[in-house]
Amino acid sequence: MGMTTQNLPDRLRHRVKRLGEMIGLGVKLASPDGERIFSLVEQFRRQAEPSGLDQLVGEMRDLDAGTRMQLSRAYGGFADLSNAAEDSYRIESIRSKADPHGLGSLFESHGNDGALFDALLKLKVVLVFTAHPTESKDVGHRQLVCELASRLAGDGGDLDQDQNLRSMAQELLLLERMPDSSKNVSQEIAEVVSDFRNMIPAILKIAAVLRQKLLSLGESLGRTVPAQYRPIRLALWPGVDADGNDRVTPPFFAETVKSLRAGYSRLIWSGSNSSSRVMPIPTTACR
Amino acid sequence: MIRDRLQGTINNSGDAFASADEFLAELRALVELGQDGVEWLVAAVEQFGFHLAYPHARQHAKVYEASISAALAEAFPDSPSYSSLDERDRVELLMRLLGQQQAWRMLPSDNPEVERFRIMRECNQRSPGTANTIIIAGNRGASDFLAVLIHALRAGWSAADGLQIVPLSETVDDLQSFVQTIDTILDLRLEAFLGPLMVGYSDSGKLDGVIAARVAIYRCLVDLAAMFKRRGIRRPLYHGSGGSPGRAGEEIHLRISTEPRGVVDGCYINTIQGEARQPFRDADIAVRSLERISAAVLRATMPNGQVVELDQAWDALAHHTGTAYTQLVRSPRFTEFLRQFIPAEVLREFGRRISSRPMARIRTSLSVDNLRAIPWNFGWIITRLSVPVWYGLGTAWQVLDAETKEAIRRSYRQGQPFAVNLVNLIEKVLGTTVPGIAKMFGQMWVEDRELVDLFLTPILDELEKAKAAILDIRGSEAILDNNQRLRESIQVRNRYAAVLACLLAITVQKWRQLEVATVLDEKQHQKEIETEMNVAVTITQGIAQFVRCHG
Repeated sequence: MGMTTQNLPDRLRHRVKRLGEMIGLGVKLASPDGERIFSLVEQFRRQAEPSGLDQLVGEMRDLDAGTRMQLSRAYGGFADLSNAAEDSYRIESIRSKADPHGLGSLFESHGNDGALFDALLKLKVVLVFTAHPTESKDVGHRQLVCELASRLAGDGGDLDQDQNLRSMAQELLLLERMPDSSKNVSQEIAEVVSDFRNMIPAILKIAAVLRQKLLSLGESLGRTVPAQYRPIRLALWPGVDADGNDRVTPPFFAETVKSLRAGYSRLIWSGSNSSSRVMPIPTTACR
Repeated sequence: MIRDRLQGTINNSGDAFASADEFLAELRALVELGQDGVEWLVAAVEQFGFHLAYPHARQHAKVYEASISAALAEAFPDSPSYSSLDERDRVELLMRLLGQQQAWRMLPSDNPEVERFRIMRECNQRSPGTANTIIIAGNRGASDFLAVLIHALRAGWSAADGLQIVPLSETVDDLQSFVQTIDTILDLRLEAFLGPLMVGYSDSGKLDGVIAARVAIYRCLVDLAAMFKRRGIRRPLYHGSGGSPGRAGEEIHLRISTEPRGVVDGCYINTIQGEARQPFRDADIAVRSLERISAAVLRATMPNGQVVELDQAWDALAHHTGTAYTQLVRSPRFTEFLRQFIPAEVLREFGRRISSRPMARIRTSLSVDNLRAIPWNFGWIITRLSVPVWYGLGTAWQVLDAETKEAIRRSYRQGQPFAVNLVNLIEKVLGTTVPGIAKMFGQMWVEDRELVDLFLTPILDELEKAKAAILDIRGSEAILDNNQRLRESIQVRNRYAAVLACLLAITVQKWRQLEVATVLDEKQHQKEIETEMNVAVTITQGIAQFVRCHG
């Protein structure tokens, strides 16, 4: 399977092509009639034109449910990996370019501006993440996609030789994305909290930049800066039974508060004790 | 030892830290002693204290209304029912109750909403500020706010506890009267309980169409800014947006740049739901996203000499667009059409597995009022029409006079931020529509051909008119001709999504046939139905990945 366009950069195009090859391999490995499924995947992809949908439907009509399931997993898996590759490429682009919407350009254009100092003093950004227990379901799938995309980034991973990579490709095609009813509230919330792990260093980094600017402006303008400065905060929105998730009952709310505190404490403690002295942050696009 | 005390703090046992400051002091002492690797922890505790995030509870106003109504009926069986009173009488009655502590006791102590507030209070007493915020969805007037407050007082909350009741206005009608609602709450001198003011993009977009909703929110914010100035008060604005274009899913910093002057005063609160989480999942992208949001809030807060106000012509456009949209979705047989045209059964199952909430407030009905905004938008995305974002624009453009149209074009040309953002959003969505897929679903799923003629054919006609209107506003030749990379990316993704759409069309059709089939072996039949549904949900997940949107 391949996804090419004239306007896509070569590096991204190369990665997506490799991911397509990997999905193709996964399709062949995932079932005894993998070769047949793979040829159908290729056939339908080539045939898919907006004006020819009737013909496509005609050719698909007699496919059994098992074949349709394998086809949809192949295309869906390719979409997952392509998205991860695009995100990964975007991160690399972000690293290499200055941002006209960022703080650097704002600070540059406002110099020692008293208005900027006042705005910095007032700054309070609160991002309210929904934290429904059901959102923890997809974690296993996302991690697999993330790892696969990461392994295939650049020139890493040899599809023909790497047995582990082949197994992962196969697993992606077989993974069931069903609710896991075995988890309790604490486990679900802990997963949602761990989802925030990349937010902690990001917030600390931006808060430090903002505070530094505030201090330097305060010094040059002769203005006082408060000892405590928390410009960016996080909140959670677990919803409530009648207007949200049936499971978000009053006791659930109390459990959320407790789980949040415990999950977060474990996060920051493990971060400070890790050998690298920083949080273990994945370097790819996925969490 | 510090670790043990931290564990004790979590469990509320043993030698717990009395406060985050105490924890911080011990960590700083370690730094002074030369302990390596503690700086990161110090920075984290300085920024977050003991809580990375604070939960905001949310409940619908109707729940409190029903609770008050039931309690009053029990206490005063001979009086007119609470639900029969108008807003003014409700406010007067609730204010009387508010002044009598004994009267709160008419709410039984095991009332679930009183219980919720009691638990919030316990959490908040242990760590002040951690569980003091409740959002009132569907807040229509000051009486809704008062009904919530009485439940909170019954649970033991007082003004000194810092309770923050957040009224959420989420329909065009309610947005238009939101300032009056807040004015009334302030006139009643209840500002101690009034938290941030929330505007919702999801239900307003679902009920009135995105164009009417976005203009209504903009005007509501202008009115709130004027009220803040008049009263000499401030309240932060809380924006309830989602992940899809129908729920204001564009990048947050872009939306901040479109806010009317005087609204953003250093503070910006925004929900991050669905696909909107994506910019925060990787550390580098999270840094960039936070930087952009912070910079946008700072820019919006600082005095700006050049302010281009939104021309009144946009109100006329919103009015005509909203009228056409509501006429469509409230047509007598529209729900019947919708039930067949969007794969409702699949969305329900998809929601059960993936989504955060049930698909509909009342599970048997698929009306525009009852279906939640997420599946509403997702359903239209799956059909590749995204109707809520653009429907009505084409009709409105034909109705507006030349002068109004020119004023709208001028807003775009002059770079009025709101106008540019909205036009770009609509154009992007129009660029993703695939009429061929919608026609295929109509042909294979809608059994009553009259419904296709009544609804799908006019929708497809309106789509072409909307495209023409956008090109006229932008002074351009083709949709997305100013963004070739995006255009090609959509075309390539659409190719794969089209294969999945064909698979979905067949699978839903087979599932529906099985559902009504007469069978001998019921067990085997159920298994076949489940298998088909499993396939349909997997296909739907794949389509969502290709269009990068779950609603």
